[in-house]
Amino acid sequence: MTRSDPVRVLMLGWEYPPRFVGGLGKASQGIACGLADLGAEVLFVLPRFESRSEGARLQVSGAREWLLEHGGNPRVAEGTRRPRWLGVAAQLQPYARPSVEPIRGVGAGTPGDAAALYGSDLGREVARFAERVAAVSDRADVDLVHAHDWMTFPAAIAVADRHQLPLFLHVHSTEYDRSGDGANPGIVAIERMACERASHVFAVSDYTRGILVSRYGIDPVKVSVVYNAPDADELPPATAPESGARQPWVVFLGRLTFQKGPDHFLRTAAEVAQLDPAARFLICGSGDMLDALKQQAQALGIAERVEFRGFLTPGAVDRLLAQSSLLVMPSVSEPFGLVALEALRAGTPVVLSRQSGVREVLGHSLQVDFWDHEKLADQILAVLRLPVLARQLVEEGRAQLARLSWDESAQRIVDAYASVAGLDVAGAAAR
Amino acid sequence: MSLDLCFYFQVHQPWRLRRYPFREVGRQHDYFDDQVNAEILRRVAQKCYLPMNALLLELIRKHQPHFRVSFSISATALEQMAAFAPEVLVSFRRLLATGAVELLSETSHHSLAALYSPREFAAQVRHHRAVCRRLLGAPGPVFRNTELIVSNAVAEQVAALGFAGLCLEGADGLFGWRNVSAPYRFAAAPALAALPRHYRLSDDIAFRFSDRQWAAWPLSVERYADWLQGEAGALPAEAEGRGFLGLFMDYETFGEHQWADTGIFDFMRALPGELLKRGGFRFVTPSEAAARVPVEAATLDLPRPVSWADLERDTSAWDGNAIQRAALAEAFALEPFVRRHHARHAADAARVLEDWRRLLTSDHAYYMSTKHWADGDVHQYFSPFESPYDACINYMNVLADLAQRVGAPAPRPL
Repeated sequence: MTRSDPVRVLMLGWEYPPRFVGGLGKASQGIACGLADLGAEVLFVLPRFESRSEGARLQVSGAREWLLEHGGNPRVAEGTRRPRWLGVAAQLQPYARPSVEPIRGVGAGTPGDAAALYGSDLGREVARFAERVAAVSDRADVDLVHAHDWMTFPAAIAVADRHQLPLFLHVHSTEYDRSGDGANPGIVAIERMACERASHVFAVSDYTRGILVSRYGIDPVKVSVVYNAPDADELPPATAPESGARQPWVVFLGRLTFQKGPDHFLRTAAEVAQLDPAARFLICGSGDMLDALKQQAQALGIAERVEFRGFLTPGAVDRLLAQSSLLVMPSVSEPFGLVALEALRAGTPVVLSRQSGVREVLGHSLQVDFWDHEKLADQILAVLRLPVLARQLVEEGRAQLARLSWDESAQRIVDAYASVAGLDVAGAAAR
Repeated sequence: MSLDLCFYFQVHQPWRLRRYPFREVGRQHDYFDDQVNAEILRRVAQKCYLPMNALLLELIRKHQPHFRVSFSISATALEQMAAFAPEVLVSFRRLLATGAVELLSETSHHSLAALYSPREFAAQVRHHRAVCRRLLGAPGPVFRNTELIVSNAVAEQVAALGFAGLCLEGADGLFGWRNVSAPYRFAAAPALAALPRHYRLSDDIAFRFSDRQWAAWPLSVERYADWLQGEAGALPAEAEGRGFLGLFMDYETFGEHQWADTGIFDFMRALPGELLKRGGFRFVTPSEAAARVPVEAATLDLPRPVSWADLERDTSAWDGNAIQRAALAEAFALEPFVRRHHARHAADAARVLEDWRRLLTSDHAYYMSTKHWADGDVHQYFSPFESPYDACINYMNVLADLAQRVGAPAPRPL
């Protein structure tokens, strides 16, 4: 039987603007909108979210809210049997184990805090989401499931099994990126099992694709790379930073966890501080390493050159970046690194960890192995004393970003829908 | 029907910088990576210089006195041969002793001085002559500028130094409808013969020879000789006997860029014999060619510099972006300080001058090119750095130290 309707995508996510301002939410929105632009009908379901439409073909809704609107039962009986493989997830946090902040830029208890919104028992939330989404899928006519990151994978598998639907997973980060060798085996198990089960997996970078292949043993043939993009309105005409107009501030922006490399930032700062008496170092973010980092700054003798600014709202981030000379992203493991795009938007050059995904699309950047403090110090010193270098990095970097778009990323997704599942987004799909 | 053929091979190796961190400024004054420089020179010597020199010697003897070639060898390459592989100098001397080989003049340090400092340009030309004399033998009266960069202003400088001829790129944008298989003169310096490179026939050997996607692959000697005969036959009647076809290429083409297993050596072994057998060709040295250019030859006007690099055939490979221009400006801005230091006969005067000149070598600026950087093209193939930006940072660190040594003020914020 053939039909000429557009493909209907049931998309499952954990974050979505404006409730969440972190990278996952922004990327989820970019992808969903890009797919709708290409002609797909997208129903984007989160655990809890005010139901609303974005354009004619994209509906975003909380699972509970959607069920209430469509005559389903959103109540999950207490004591409902939790799938055995979710038993480990009772005390899990999606992105910041064991820190309390789920995403950079959002403080604990603020409206955008997933932990505050979803409750502290993440395992229960994940399981409840799986059950509700299964109920949604009984009432919504869809052609495929596309799920973003591990919290939604159990729900996606439940739906795909229930209705024999093609299963597409989108990996924005892996447990190894978040926790390194301290990875939670329960989450790793969910990620591996889901990727093995999936029809196809999208990774946000070749770096992440490599982790899926090497550490999870996923067949490389079924993992393709779909890069994130800056939002269309995120690259205003370049406001070329006038030399002297900026402070000699070197910024770290991210959760203060091992994987983001704030300790590498500090050790490098000590080297830079010796050679450039004007340089100051701003650490923006919070996390489980805060106290240790303060002690480290003392021990390195640079305490008076380092400021711990804590969490910043998105607006404050933009203002700070616009005044600063340089953003350093010394991550030990970074699937993508949207913060680099934020910096360039503010006209601020970046140093990127070579252990990151964003460097693959931003060749016009300074890049360094996170452990190479000598080279990183040289790059920081050079940007501070050579404005011509800073200007060129920003101009060329922005030109490179301008060639990325969510529509192009969505096109890669659509191509995979077609080649893997025979679903043609433009219609006339064979069923 | 007769056509003069001129082979000129460019031999150059830069003094590559070591990783020089900013914290060494004012403390360490050794900038160059002797180990890497020695490794590369010895590798190229084994793969190219020695076997190709031997082959050319064999061909010159076999076809005596008809086959002749020319070389332009930078002083930075000569000094590295002397330091790391002196047997290469011996084999070049053997070639020169045949009388069938001519050396071209160039800047000692393969620099862009012609564009930035006429005084330093003249000094480097003299220095190159001195190094050649010391290690090989005197160069002839024809000049080739770094990367064939030529403009009216460059031609004037070269003429003022007393040269008889100057090599240049037979670029489409410059020659247009005019025949590139003929010699010219320079409008800005009519005393100077202009010897153009036939870029298509040169690049057939230098770039395309091993390209399996190329329609002419694998290129046979017979086919290439046909093309050369075609060029000879296409000369207008009034140009009879005055044709000049310049086959100018990097010497590393043979064995390094085109590996031996592509057949490049066999091709070159057979080519002179094939051409001499067919007749109508004469191998000439650049000085012979320059002497034969009629006084009334058509003139070329080059208001803007033309080079043999990239598709653009301009200087953008070295000064196309802001960091390159800033680095070049900063390096040449040290000139008065380096000269003053030298004039004071400071103990390290000779070494400071040599260090500065090594930093003027065009390769350093080339490594900072961001043209097509994202595409990972030929610029990166030659670069020892991970990115053009890292190349810039390292270079500026070294320059900061050199500035201190000669008492120059700290480099201005660029």
